[in-house]
Amino acid sequence: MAISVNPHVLDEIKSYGAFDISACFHCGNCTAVCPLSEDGASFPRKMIRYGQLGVKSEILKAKEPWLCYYCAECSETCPRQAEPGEYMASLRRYQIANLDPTGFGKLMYKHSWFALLFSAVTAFILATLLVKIPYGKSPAHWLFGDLVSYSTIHDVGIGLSVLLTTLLIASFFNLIRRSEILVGTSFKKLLKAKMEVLREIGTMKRHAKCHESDERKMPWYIDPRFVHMGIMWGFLMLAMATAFDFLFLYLMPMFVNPIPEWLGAFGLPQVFYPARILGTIGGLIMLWGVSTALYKRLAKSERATEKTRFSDGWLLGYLWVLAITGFWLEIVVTFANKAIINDWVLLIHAAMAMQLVLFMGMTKLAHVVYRPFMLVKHALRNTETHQTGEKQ
Amino acid sequence: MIENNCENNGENNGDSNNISKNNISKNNCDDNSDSTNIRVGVYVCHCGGNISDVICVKKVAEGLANYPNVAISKEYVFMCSDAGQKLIIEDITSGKINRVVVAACSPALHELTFRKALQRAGLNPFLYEHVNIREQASWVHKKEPEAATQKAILLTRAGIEKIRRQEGLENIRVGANKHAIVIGGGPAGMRSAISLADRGLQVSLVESGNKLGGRLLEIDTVYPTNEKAEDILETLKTDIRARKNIGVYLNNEIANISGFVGNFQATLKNGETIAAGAVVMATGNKSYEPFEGEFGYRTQDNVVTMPEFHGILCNIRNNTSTNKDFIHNGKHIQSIAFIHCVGSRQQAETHQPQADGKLNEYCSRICCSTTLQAVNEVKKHFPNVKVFDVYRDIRTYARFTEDGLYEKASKNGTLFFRYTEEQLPTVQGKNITVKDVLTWNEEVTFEAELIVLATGIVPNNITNIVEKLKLPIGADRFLSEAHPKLRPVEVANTGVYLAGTCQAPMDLVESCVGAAAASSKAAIVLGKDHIELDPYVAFVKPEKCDGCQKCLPECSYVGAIFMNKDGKAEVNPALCKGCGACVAVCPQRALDLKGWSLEQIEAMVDAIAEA
Repeated sequence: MAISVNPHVLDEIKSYGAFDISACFHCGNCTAVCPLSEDGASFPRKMIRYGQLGVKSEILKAKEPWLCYYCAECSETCPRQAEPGEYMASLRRYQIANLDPTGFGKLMYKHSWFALLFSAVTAFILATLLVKIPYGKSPAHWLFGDLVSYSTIHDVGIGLSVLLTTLLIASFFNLIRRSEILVGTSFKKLLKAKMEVLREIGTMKRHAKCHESDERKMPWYIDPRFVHMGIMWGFLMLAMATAFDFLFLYLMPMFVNPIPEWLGAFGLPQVFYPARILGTIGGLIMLWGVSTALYKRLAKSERATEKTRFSDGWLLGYLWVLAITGFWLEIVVTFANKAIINDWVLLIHAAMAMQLVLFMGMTKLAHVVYRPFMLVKHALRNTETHQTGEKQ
Repeated sequence: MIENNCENNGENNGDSNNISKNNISKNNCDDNSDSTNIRVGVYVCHCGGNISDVICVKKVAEGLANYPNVAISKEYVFMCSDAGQKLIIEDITSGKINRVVVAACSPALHELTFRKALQRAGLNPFLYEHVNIREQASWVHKKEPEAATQKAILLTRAGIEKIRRQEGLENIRVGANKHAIVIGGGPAGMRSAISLADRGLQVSLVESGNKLGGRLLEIDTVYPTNEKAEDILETLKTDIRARKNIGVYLNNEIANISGFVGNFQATLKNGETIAAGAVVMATGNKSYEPFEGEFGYRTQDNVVTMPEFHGILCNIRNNTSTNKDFIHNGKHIQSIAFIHCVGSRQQAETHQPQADGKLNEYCSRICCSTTLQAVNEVKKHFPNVKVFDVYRDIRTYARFTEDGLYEKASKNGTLFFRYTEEQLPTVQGKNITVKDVLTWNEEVTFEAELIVLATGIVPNNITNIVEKLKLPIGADRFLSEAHPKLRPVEVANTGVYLAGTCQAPMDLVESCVGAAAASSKAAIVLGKDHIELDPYVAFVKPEKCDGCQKCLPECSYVGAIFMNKDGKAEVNPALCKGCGACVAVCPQRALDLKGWSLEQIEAMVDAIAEA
């Protein structure tokens, strides 16, 4: 089957990033210089050609955008200033936006004003849901009315998380199951690939290759690899803390008292409570990662962050506000402060956390599903080519 | 035997009188029929070691010192140096010698140097023989110095034998008609006519069409300057009108043409005759005509050639009401595809041969730049039209176009595809399918509402002139120049010069350069009162000729040999190129060549064979 050309697709992709792949004359320098491009996953040139031709179907299912960590070496090497690195980033945005069934993803990615407005409106709606509507009182009281109880917010949040996590796991397996790459793949191979990917997600070893030859190698605390690992591990620790919280505070109390009595003797049982310790450490790590990444994005100080778009900053901004408000609330809870502003902070924190989860499929957060999935796809392909190679 | 043959030299002189009839004069130099009077000076050159490192030059010089008629035999480090030439001049002026043989490098390098030295010493320059003992001995026999030395002696002996039988020759001189015919009124012809007129020559510019301009008339703007083609033409026309010594013949063609340098006669289609001293061929080119069905040409109405596309573009551009829309045949065109190399770089495996059975194997050179120029024009005036460029290779080689044209096209969103000679693109209605190198050789298909074939160029049909003037034609059907570096824009036929694309595919800039060169060469020839030609031509010994006419069909140059009213063969020295074909076939040995006579060659062979 011949590849069909649609010259209008590129115009569409162009609204997701500042690149100029029309200028590409296919010298292949980008692919040659890329530390991650390899047999069975040749990029960025291949993706550039698909973009020029406008082969939407190939672009939407391509794993290559997710194998790239945007070290920007290709953009620096490109003799045509086509910005292949930024193009790869745009493809990630394009995939997320186009695979989002709600259609809001496209709008949020393309127009920062829409992303802002949509975030504000939905935040207001979610916050309103959390305000106990005081029937019988005049509408003037609505704004300054009582919040629903802390436990309700907590319950709603945890319930939502559990639901979405289940859905996420389900859809993740669904994605794998539906993907053609699984044809002829044994469970053993799949397991092996998954382990490989888990290792990669945990350590981001491939990312280390990106800066191997970089003369401007950065100290670890601002190195993109560790910054991203900080955000991710911090996030995961917080997620685990939430899960433990659910486990210890809601499931276990049905059978035993999870907090030893001797702990209560110190007077501050919550501080030493294991889930809280985990959450606090996770929160601090994430705060460092998010703050560093956000600074780099705002300062546009590096080749890879030079072309930062609103959609990149959106996620970081949310995480940063969530981290700050989270710590605020932790302090408040620990010292049992009853100031009215704390209710507002709680409201903001809760609404934004729910937004983050709700918007997952239409924002950059979707990469927590896309990237691992595509890595598995790639790992499977790798074992296949490896095996056929052995046969030959 | 040698001495006897030498005495025959005298009888050749009587034959030269016939030349005067054709406005030609020829003087013979002093007669050296008495062999005792012949004193040959032999000079063996070391060539700074190039020769002497292998060949024992001393042995060569000494070995020849006692050879018959050799008066002096010397060796010297650099004969071509001033000091070396001075040796010869002094020996001549002091009366020691009256023939010179230099055994040195290739005659192509220094024969002329030494001829001029002889001239300065007051000796006829044709009494000189150049023997090549460098390329033919020292360089090729490096490992056998003794044999090389022996070979050098033999070769030099042959040279001595030749020069002993050499009479002094004079260049043939013909009168020059200070009038040039320029055939073809395109930019090259116009440029030539202007240059020739500026040299004070009378010019007849003959154009078959009804106006001057040639293929420049088809074009809207020209690269790399983006000038309007009509503006350039207007300037050329104004220049022509301003020159009273240019006669323009429109709607006219050369019906008949004959003659030789300085003396051509042309008859036009309208019966007029023009006498001219030189002919400038500016017959130009035409666009390749695709065969029916080639990329859908003439079987689909959405397929056009580049000249046709230029016409469409000019039409739309002149029609201001539809300025922003590309409308062709009443349809809004949203996408245009250009296919490169149509009619050029053809290969037996993939291309259909032309009507004459040949393939156009050459690159037409102008199509890449022309196509990208057109692409950029489309994108400039109709930015919403999608443009596809299907190429095999791209070379926008002209100065200022290497980056500019391609750069512009790639920045304005033109989508490029690359095919190889193994599989040409196919056209089916609007669909073009390319096995695309840029897409890792995948088949790629796209729709284009208008398909433009970047047709190459082929020479105009000038068979009549080619046959009449016996002009050399290359395998590509273009006129062949004598030598691209040593004799550019000249052909073997003296007096005919090539201007522009009659010679090879070239762009407007190169055409004008070629035209300027051709007119300069013509002006050099016609600038003197007489034209001097090499004296190495055939001549007839009438008393031996029995009129068998076997020589006539051998001659490649019309009118060079003919039967006179006495029934004997006669040579027109102005037309004869001295190839010797007639000499070889004459059973009576009535024909011979000046400077390369049969007996000279026999004596040279004997000198080598006897040893």
